[in-house]
Amino acid sequence: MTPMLVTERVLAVLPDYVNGVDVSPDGRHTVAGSVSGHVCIADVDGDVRMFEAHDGDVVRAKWSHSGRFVATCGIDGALRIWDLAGSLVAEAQHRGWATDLAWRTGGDEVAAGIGRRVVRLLANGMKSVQHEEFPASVECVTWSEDGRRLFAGHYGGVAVFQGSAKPVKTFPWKGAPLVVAASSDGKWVVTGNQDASLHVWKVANGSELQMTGFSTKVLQIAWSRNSLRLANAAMNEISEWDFSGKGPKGSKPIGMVGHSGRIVGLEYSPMDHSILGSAATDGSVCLWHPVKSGRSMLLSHQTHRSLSTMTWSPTSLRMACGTASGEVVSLTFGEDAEEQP
Amino acid sequence: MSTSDSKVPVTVVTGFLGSGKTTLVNYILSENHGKRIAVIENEFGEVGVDDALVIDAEEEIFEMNNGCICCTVRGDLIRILGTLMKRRDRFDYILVETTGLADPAPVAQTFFVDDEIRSQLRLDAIVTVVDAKHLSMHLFEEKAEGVENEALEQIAFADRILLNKTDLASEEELVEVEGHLRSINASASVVRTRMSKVDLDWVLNVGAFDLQRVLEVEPTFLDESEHLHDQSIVSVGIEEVGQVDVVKINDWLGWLLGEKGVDIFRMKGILNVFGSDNRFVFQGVHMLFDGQPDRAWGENEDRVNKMIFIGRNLDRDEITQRFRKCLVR
Repeated sequence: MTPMLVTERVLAVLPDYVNGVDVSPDGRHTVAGSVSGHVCIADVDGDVRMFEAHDGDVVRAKWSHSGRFVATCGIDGALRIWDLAGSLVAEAQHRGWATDLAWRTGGDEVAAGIGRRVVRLLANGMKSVQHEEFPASVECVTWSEDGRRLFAGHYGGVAVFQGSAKPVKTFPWKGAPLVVAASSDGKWVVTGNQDASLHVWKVANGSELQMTGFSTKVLQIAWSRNSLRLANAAMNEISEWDFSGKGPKGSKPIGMVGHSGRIVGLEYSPMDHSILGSAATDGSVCLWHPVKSGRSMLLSHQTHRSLSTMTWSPTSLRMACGTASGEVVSLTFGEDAEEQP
Repeated sequence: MSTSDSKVPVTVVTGFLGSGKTTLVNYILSENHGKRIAVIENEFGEVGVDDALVIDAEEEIFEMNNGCICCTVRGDLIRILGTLMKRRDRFDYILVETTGLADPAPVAQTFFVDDEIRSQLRLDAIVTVVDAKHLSMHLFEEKAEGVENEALEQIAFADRILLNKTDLASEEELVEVEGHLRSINASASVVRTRMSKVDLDWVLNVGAFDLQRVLEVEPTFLDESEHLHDQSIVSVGIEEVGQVDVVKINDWLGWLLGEKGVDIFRMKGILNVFGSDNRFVFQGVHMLFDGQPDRAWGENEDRVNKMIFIGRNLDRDEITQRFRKCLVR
């Protein structure tokens, strides 16, 4: 493997810790939210629009699949949809803190966990479905890739919604999920948990698997595009599980250690599905090609910034990262690096 | 990684409704303009100081089952503390004010179970405010079977107890209440207060969970006869000269945590281990146990094993007899 070039560029600077970052489907715009309540939208030409989006921390900021809108949610209990100019398009409010949000594929609809409820909002301002409150706060939400199912994790398990206000299924489990992700083939849903475990359900029949023994709670999980591999991070360690064939039952994961700080971002590159990217609080960014024998690491790069979040651009081998001091940083790898201005 | 010095201390203020918790929090805030204090409270709109950040929390308890260790944590606190630690203008101090009915165990355990919180914050002490006039009434309140007496538990968990509203009680009543407090929790220090006015050094930066400062307050060991009639929560103190066998003491601690962990609210101790010139110190909350070798014994120091266990339905004789079997003869 020839060494890859890395080009680092600061796209914008927010007033404080960056909680969420996302790149638009065309790869041209980056959105980021801060605990200061500010959101910025930066484009590749260097233009930045910054605006106050929430009273208190912005928890998530994400592009709609159409690329027309940005959704943000905050600890003020608000879910808001903005256009590219930063004008408010729609909003919804519920009692409690927002914890997570996810756009549905096919349709400008967003779902967020706010307090004990999943709140759904359309870009035209309509609330699509009114869900009832759970007995505990919603910690995480995600859609199936076809947009038919919505999964909501809360203390006590995962609820599956499909069209109606009541869950079509619930996967009860006495634990506290923190993050949830569904495989793109729709077969599996997995949560990373407070008790340092992963919990996996087969969506069709609810059969479950549990992976335990991580050093800390699991805040990062990522599915490969082909649904055959699942990666997770706990503290500075990454594990990748093989979901081909009968699944990972009884198998050992591929372990990857390259960071010395807590991993704050973990995703497979949409451009090259064999590449797993990770970022950590010690400023390190790693690219991996997970293999059972030998070295999985392709590259390790030190940004000398305390990273707080990371995501890939959908159109190039480029990462967008947030930092604890408010910077939004773009990292371009390999041949793409030379194309940068 | 963070050293213990860079960790932000957190004081948990508990106490029954109307005991003076909020008055204490307000007093700390008004006396302490040099410190950036964040307050997490469970009851709406009571803290009234402008320059402090006040966040409302709604108690949300998560049961955790990690192998053989069961415990409960506060999901709402994990979220709130996580957010506080992200802010650039980090706080010098955090106060958590619980509701009058809150169980202190999940609050305390949150600081030991969540790794992110553990690496950045340290639980400094649990401060309990009691109403001198009405405490006895709360302590002897008849509860349905299986229902906890929160007033008792808040005292059992305390490192510091403010015996408040002393102006409303007679000297006789105060002495009686102090006796009750001591018999429930022999390791907490108690101070008499009015309007929750107390020397701030006595309630802040106490280091009650700091292993180096374990048993800094000498427990007052009582005779069996001094215990209240029908009292389910007691302090069991052990003070024994001699050296303990390291294997046997491990088994004993394993038995204690496994069999009594649910019933033991707090424990603290210093052990004289055979073959070691250093003290071994430990502390724990329910099944969560923290222990390590400490400084060397002093030349003229009595090498005495000292421990205190505060909990429900603890059999003093059983615990003591089993401990004695760990002594090297």
